Amino acid sequence: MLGPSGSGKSTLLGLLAGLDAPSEGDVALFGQSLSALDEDGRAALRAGRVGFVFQSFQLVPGLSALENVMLPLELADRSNVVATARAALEQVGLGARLRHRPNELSGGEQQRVALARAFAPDPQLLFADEPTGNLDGRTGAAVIERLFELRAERGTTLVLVTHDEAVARRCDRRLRMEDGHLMEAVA
Amino acid sequence: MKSVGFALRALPRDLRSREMRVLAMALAVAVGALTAVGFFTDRVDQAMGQRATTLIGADLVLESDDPIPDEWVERARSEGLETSGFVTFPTVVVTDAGSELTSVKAVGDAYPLRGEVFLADSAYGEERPAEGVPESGTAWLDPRLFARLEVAVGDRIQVGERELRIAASIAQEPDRSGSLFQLAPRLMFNRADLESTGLISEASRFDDHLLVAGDPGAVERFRGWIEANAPPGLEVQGVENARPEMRAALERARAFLGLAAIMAVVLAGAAVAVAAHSLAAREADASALLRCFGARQRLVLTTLLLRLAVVGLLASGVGIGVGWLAQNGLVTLVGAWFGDALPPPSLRPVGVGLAAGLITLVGFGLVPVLRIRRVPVMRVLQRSTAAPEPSALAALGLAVAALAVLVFYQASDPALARWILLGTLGMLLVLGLAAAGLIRLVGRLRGRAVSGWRFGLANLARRPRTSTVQMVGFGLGLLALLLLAVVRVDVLEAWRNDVPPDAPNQFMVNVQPDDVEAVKGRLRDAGIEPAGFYPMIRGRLRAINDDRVDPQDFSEGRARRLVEREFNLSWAERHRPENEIVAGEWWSSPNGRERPALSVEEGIADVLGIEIGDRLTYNIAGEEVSGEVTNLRRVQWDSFKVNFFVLTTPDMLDGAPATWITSYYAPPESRGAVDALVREFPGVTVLNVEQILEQVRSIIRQGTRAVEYVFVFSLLAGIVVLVAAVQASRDERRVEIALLRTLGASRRRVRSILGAEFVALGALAGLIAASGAAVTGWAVTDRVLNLPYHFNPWLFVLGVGGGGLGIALAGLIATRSLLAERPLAVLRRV
Repeated sequence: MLGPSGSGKSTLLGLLAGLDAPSEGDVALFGQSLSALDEDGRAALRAGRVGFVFQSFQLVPGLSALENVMLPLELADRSNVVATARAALEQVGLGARLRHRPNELSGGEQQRVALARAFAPDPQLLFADEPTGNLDGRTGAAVIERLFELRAERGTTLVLVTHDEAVARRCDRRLRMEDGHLMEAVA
Repeated sequence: MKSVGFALRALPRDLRSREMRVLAMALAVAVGALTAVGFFTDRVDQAMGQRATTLIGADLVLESDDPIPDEWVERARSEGLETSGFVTFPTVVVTDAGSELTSVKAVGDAYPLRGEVFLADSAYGEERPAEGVPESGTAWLDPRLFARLEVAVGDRIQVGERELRIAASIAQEPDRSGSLFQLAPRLMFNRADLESTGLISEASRFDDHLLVAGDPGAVERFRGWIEANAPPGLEVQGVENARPEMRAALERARAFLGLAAIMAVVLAGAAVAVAAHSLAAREADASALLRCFGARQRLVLTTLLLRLAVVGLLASGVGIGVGWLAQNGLVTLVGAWFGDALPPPSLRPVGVGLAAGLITLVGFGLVPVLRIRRVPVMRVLQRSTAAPEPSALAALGLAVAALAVLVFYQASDPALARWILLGTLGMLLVLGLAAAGLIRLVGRLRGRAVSGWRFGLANLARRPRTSTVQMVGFGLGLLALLLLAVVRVDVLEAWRNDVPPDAPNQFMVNVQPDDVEAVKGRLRDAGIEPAGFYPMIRGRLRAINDDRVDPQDFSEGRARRLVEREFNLSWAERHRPENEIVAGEWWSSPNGRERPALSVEEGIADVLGIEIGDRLTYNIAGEEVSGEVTNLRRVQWDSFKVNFFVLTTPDMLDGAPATWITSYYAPPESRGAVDALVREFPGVTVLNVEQILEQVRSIIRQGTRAVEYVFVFSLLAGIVVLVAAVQASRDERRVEIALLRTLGASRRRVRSILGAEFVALGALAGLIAASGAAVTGWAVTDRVLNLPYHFNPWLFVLGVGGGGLGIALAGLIATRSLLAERPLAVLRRV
């Protein structure tokens, strides 16, 4: 999903994920109409099936890398939480930094923890909101690389918001948002 | 159960978080203050119970006109109780110098079972504890007898048909205060010598006493058995109502301590509220994130509440530890009340401390934290979305409810508790309104200020809500400090003056009506001003309304004993202002000729179930008189003035046989004159209460020190409030400072802007606090203590000046680390 700042990309993403309710119209997620559900119902629908990667990483400050990755697994009532979380961190190359807290990690490392956290529960759907927006070019490219690798490995549907045309070109379908209006982008 | 795991995992993080630390500190201070006072009063209560037993020389005393049957002694021993006994009767002792009516006490082995007799080798000589009872063939004498009989230790005196050698002077007799007003000077000897004196015969009048002590359960069983089988003339005396004057002083000390602790709790509560508010703001991100990952609202909320509970319990635990340590300090300060043998505290204050900690946490912290439920999940994508502010009304309501529970528990007097509660509420309301008003005013004025100040004042006005909360926090903290620094001194001084240096130290009883004027004259000649002469008439309560009074009708022991005994009644025309009328009205007609009326002390009225309008009938010297209760009085027993449980209109006791009683302060140099007076009027008895008076004075002296000590907790709580208030805006300031720095402001410049804001905040809060302290000081001295209030201008100098400087300093220290942060890093994180 492409578009200038303030065009409504993040709002659309939030509506798609059921983080907010639309004032008009309906969103269906996994065949389920979101407007038929209350807040908690939408949360239950997301648990373990929807992953998120944010521009500002959004790691819980006091929790270690491992604990941050464990969070969505526990919320989805998975078993082997610790082993799964550790494996996910190893997959993003952070096997040696399990006990580190967010403020002890670099920006790139933090976003990789966020990637591990997003993929660990094997979600069917992953929303990523400008995941490289806070990273320098090289680190950003590495993170994007991991993102697409993981997506390919696990077969997850990825909804990506980005400013980067190069990144957008790697996606199967491109949409452009302008002043709250959505249109098919021409590659 | 998931929430428990989350909560426990968050613990190490919570222990490092600023908000949780402030919250924990506030709770620990509140619980510390409450438990320190709790532990201490618990120990004092236990000691009072034990001490009271020494006042009757046993755990239980039976007094009978007839010899105590051996069967009773056997019964007590079969319960495993210790026993002893003594016989008392009046007799006249004659020497060459003259004769004296004495009160004989022939004591059995093991007397007293509780407490000690203290002796001296000469009259009023140096005291030492007695070993055992007087040996057979010897006697111990009241010091007054030495002068009157012109004898010394080692001399012999004739007691009935027996000659006894004087072995010592009695300095203190533990169970003497029981029958304060009937005592002629004491003559004590061994019960084994009783028969050889020939003073006891079938026809003579004497009282036999059985003393019992031991395991409390066994004592109670024995008491039950005796009360079921006792003949009518038997008086059973327990420890319930020993020493009213000492109790009154201790009660007041306890009320002061409780107030000091409550003040710490109120302040700590304010700190908890502010910290919980910041905590909820800080937790907003994490909770939105959890929800985004599919956590239900309930899970997010229970996790946070559990975390709070864990921190609350830990903090309360620390507080209890601190309280326990602190009570040792209290005991050191007031140890002399009870020698060094204060019993160890019970575990009750631990439970109370935990409960108080949780009540404070829930009451002040719950509403701000509940707002976490309403954090919009969209916050993970759009930072600007925030939860609505919690309802101020709900927050205040719950806080007041929690405060009410604590205050009513701590201040045993409901009227006082209401007063504290309303005062606190009013203060908060005024603080809030004044703060909001001042902030508005500052917003208008800021255009006229110079650069640094303009920014600073603009900051204040830009966040009216946060600024108001901060100013109320600062105001409360400063108010506490001002009250402690200035008002406390005035209040404690007033308490110290409660028993002035010239409080009566002697009572004179048994003055015959015809001698009153002469005795008054002799006292004045000796430079003594008696505190009024009052008639005293002995009477037995016969009926309340139409119901004949039967001791068996009263289930409560104290009530039963009150109606078994004769009352000391008195009549009075005018109401004495130191006795407060708590219900009804004093008889208005100047000489009370309308119809017979009674005024009853509120405590005794409560015990006997007497109400205004009841008709009481007394038997006085064989005649029945009755009158209607028209008012209830509160008596200040620790004033050392003559007081009566029941007063009547003058005509009601017309013609009844009365003796007169007075109390006065006799300086040491006038004691000789008093002795001469007693010799001139042999019927008159003088009772020295110097010792009790000194005890009460020392309770007050050490009590004021103890109260000051507990105020340290209030001081700490006040500081925690200030810290919490500074902390509240830290996150917001962090961004602001980063922005100013990015825009090119030097650190120095930023510091001056912050300084201006904090100075303004502190000075305005100080202004409000000084006004609050002045009003509180006036209310306490003028309304509660009935003393003239002196306005202290230093309050405002200290409040405005100290507040401005202090808050500026504290604020700059608290934000120092923010100035050191790199602006880019801060702005990136937003």
